[in-house]
Amino acid sequence: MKPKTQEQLLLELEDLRARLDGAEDTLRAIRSGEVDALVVSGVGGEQVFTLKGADQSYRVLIEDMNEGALMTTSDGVILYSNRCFAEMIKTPLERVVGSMISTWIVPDSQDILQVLLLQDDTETRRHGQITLLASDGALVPGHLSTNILQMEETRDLFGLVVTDLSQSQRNMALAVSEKLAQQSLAASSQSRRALLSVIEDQKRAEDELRNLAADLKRSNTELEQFAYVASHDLQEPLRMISSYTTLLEKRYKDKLDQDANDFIGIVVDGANRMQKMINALLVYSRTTRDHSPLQRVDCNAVIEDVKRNLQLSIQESGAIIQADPLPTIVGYPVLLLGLFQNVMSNSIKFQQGTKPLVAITVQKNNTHWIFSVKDNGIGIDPQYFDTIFIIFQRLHPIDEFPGTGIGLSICKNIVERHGGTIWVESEPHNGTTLYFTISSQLKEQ
Amino acid sequence: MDSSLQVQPITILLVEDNPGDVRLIKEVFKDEKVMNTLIVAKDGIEALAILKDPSKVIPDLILLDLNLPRKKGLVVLGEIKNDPSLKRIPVVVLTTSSAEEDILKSYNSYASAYLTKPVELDEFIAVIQKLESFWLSVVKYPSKDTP
Repeated sequence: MKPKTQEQLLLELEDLRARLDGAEDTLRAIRSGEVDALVVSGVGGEQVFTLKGADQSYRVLIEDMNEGALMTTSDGVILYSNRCFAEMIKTPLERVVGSMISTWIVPDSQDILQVLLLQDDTETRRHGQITLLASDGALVPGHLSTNILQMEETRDLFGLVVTDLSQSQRNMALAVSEKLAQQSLAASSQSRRALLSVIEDQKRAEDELRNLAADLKRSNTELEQFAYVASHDLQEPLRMISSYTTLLEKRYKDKLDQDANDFIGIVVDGANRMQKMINALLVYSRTTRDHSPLQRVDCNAVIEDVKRNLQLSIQESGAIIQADPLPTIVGYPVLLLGLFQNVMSNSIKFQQGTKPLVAITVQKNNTHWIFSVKDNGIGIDPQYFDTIFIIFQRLHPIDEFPGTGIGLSICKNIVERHGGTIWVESEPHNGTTLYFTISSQLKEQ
Repeated sequence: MDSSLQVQPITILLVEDNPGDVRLIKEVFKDEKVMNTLIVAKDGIEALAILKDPSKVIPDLILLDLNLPRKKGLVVLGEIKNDPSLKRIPVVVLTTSSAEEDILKSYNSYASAYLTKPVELDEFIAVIQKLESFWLSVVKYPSKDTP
């Protein structure tokens, strides 16, 4: 080998310096992120090496973005999915990759999907509304946009971006009402203003309903407070009147004249009657606030219970009670007992020396049971048919037929709680038939 | 007659805000010639003050109204039953209320008995008589010296 001349050596040194500078520039560029890829000439032609740092920033962008990102074949096989899409359909990522995109879309949206995945180069970007079907059966409204990825490969790939629309909706109720409003709008081609007014109307109706429910709750609470006041606070002064007049009578009977004793008797009697009325009022208020569940009630057993409770008056009056075989119905057991007992005790009580005959029958129509309780008592003048159902309304002097005059208003309350009505057919001295209906549509609780 | 059934004078604390009721109970005791010491507290706070005052005699029996001003009867009952030095004292609730809720809450708070005040005087006298005969002569109390 011929020794190099000094000149040759200097040229070589110059060349090496230039190549070193170039290499240093490249290194600096790689370090500072100015280079995405290096093209290296090799035996099989030029090879591209992408640099990890640059690729990762795209990858992170797609992995972590708040939209679902997918890459599929034109057949719809998912080659890549980001975490967000897997979360939308509540499925582990490894099960998403390799599956068909159509698996995760409801049948109604399949046509749209087909159009979106059409291999038509004239329109490379498309989008539409679809509904996703999550693995737990949940439906997720979504916006799907697709574009054909121009790759230097034989088959076409699709890039898909899925946006979860349910997150952007404030609440389910609004979504539904908006959808309803949109439908009615589409049908009638009204303006955006009409859509808003439909939503507002619905909101207003909901508000009204809420207010009514609140009112009802408030009045129920007030009724309960009233019941407590009646059972305690009203009775105390009454007890004082009654107790001390009795004490007065006990201690001073001998020192008072007949008038004074009569007056004491009247005061005591008045206090006792008031006491009974307060108790009756309590029973009345309990019929509206009884919160016991609706149950199956055998009306035959109810009649037997009533007979036991009224045993004394049945024996004293010699009453005969006949009842058809009665049905088992759904209702409030305690209230139904109260209803039958009130009605039957009226039939036994309102008599003029005759032996009471009480007959209970039942019929059924499409919606109600119709009960009737017929007696041979004193009857009721038709002009009082409505009055008798009003609280504390009495048709007879108290010494003739004792009682507070609350029984039938309690019955009316009970019947109405069972979705029914109550009425009477009668004429004076010719017996009374009391009818009441109970809804046959009530459900056991 | 068994000596244990003889009437022994006991101390009763009556917690009652209604002066009419206090007087009525006093009158009935007087008519029945019952030998007892009746201490009266007009509300719950006064009752607890009496019970926790070391200079006062600890009563053998407490008659407690529920509807009291300032501190309600059920609260007083709860405080008595939570106090180790007082919880052994029988508490008889004597009230106008016949509300199921009040009855249940009283027994849940360890009331010894629940009585409603009858409207009619004769019935009221009967209740007080029964109260006397049971709590004053039938029931055995721990000795005063028991710590």
